[in-house]
Amino acid sequence: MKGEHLGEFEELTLLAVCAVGRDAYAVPVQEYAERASGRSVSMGAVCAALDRLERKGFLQSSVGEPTRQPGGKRKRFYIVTPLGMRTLREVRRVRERIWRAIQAER
Amino acid sequence: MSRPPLRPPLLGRLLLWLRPLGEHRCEVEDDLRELFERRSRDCGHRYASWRYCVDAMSLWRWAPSASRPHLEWPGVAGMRDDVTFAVRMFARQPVSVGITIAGLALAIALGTAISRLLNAMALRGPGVADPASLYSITVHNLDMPRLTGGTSATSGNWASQDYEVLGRAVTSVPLAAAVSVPERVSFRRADAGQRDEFITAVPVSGSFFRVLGARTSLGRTLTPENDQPGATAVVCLSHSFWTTGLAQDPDVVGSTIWLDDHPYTVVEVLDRGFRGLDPSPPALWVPFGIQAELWKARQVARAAAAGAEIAALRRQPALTPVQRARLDALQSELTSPPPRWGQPVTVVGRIEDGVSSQQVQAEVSSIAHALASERGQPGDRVPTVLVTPIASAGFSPELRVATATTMAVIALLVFLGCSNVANLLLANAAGRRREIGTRLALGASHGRIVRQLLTESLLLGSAAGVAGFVLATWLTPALARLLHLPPLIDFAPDLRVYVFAVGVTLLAGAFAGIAPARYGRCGDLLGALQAGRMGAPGALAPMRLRTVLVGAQAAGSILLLVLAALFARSVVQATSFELGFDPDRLLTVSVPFSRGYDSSRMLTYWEVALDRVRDVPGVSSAALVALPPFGGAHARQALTTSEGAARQYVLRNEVTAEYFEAFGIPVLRGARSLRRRSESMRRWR
Repeated sequence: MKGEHLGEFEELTLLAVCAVGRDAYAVPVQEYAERASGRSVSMGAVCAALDRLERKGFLQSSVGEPTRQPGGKRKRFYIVTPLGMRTLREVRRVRERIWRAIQAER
Repeated sequence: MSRPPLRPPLLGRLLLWLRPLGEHRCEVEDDLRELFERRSRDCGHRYASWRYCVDAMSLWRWAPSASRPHLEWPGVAGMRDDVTFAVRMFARQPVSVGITIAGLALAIALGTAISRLLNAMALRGPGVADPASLYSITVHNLDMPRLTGGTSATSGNWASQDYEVLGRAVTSVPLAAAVSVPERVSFRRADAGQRDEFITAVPVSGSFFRVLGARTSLGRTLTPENDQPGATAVVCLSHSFWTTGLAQDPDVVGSTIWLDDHPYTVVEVLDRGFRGLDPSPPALWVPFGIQAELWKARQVARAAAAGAEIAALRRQPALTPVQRARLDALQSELTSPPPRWGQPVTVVGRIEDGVSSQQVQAEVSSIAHALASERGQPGDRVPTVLVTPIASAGFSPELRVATATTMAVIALLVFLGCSNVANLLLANAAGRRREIGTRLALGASHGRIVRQLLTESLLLGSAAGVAGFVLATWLTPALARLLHLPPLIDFAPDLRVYVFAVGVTLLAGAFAGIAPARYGRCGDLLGALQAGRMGAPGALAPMRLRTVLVGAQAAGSILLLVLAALFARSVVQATSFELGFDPDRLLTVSVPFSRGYDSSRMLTYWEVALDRVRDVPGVSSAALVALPPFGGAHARQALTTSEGAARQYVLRNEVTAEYFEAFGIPVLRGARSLRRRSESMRRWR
């Protein structure tokens, strides 16, 4: 279903896809998420998150050309959709609003 | 010395292999291997192996979606790959592929061209609305007044005067009529200095286009008001004539054209595909009433001119034989009652719901009987009225047989082309057994192999189909000219022809690909990988099939040769057919007189022409004949014996005294009791 809220790991995965930019497939997304979060991220979790994000309409995938190595396979690349970007910005605004409120109380 | 590549741990590979991943397997395996190699490089083999197993286990918690929102439809990517591969493979052998496509394209072009001719001549209707409700109303054995006096019995057509009676009296159906034989008229546009050309025109009733439901391309349709005495002379153009003769002039409606030196205003251009009641459409249609009015006006003008010419001839001190004959003809013409304009016409009616053809037949029969008794027709000769659907009238049993025969020949031609393509693809498949065997070994399914081979054959068939269709656009008019088909028939393809061309193309491609696809999908991997070696299993199978295909091609070619030989034999027999006269060194001349020539001027012309032809060196005899043999026209005459026995009808002709000598027709008995030349020519039409 499109347009649902983002889970914590989904947000992490979506941000990683955004950060990787072009040629974002499962491997660089998993490495970035692991590096950024500082914790171990399994491939199964990344694949599941990418799949869910695509079903929700936050990501769009396409199968690219085979890699130039001998026996190279075709990879599935992901890009963030406009809906995904809007959702990320909204989540960021919510977090910043809450932090401003916390800092104002203190 | 390079180190061997590191392999992921067996446990991880086992976990991955056991997990059903469907279409995601390849990319997941590739991603895990890439991660394993990077971690091995960065963090060591043990860490990489451990993470590999964790990742493989984590995939068991992932439920891949059954249908991912792809950017492309399922199967399209595969089909696109097949087409790309096929194009690359054909590009490696351009000459043989080009020859194959050319051969199949020629067969498809011939088939498409013949189908276009057949469609235009027989299958496509006359371009009328709801042809099932249109009926032809014919009458037989009704005495019809002739233009030059007397009567002749109808054999289907009505006299135009009788149609006027029908039009007023018949109430059950709306009627329309058209002159049965198109007239030749001279045509020119209003431009000064343009040379006249001769075209065909058909006089019709004012209700003709409305009853037939003809659609208008430009202008407005003819109405019964256009058919009234005193109405403006108007004309309706056929789409073919507007295209070929007037270059599709968009301003033609309202312009003036000249027919037989009389101005007509163009009011309508009929829709493409409308051809009236004849297989070949005329150039234009004119209302009955206009022709009758013009005929009357010409009679008045002729009478005045005849009077002046008689006076001039009488002032001559001495007359030559030609002048005397001319004077006699003019005097006879002035003393005879002027004939009314009348032509044999074809009558049609549109029978609506609630009215039966029997009702119409009964109503029209009663009118025909009344006309017969009015003309004093004997009671033993009862006019017969027939009401038959037009849709069935055109497609006769003979035409069905000819159509079926032609389609069979087309099918045979396309079969020969397809066999050629199948042979090529089979040879190709045999040479690709190693490739196919490798693909099978890598996990390709039989269906995938079949799809690839069928895609290749369909691609060849499509290329040949496009080339054949383009070739047919040139071939069709060339064939039409070769067969002397009427020039104004529209041979443009319609939906039926497109469907035929696409169907033939797809069938040709599929048929050509079945044999190599059936052979190529064989699952004998060992035989496939051993292909080309002596004694390899399965090496003989494609050879047998190719032999069968070559044999089929030879059989088809021989059959076509036999058909061609039989046809040539029929043509030879037709040329040696006993004609009943001697055609050796026999020449015929016909002159298309325009409306400016009345019967007396024509008479004078022929008298002078006959004398001059006799004087030409080498001419042994010359004669005039109204209806030359094999000219396609005939006339019937009522005949009764001197004892007043039952009347019968015979074919008659009008000839001069030298006719039998000129044609080499032996007279078996009696003197050549023909009328004097001047008397026979006086009855000349």
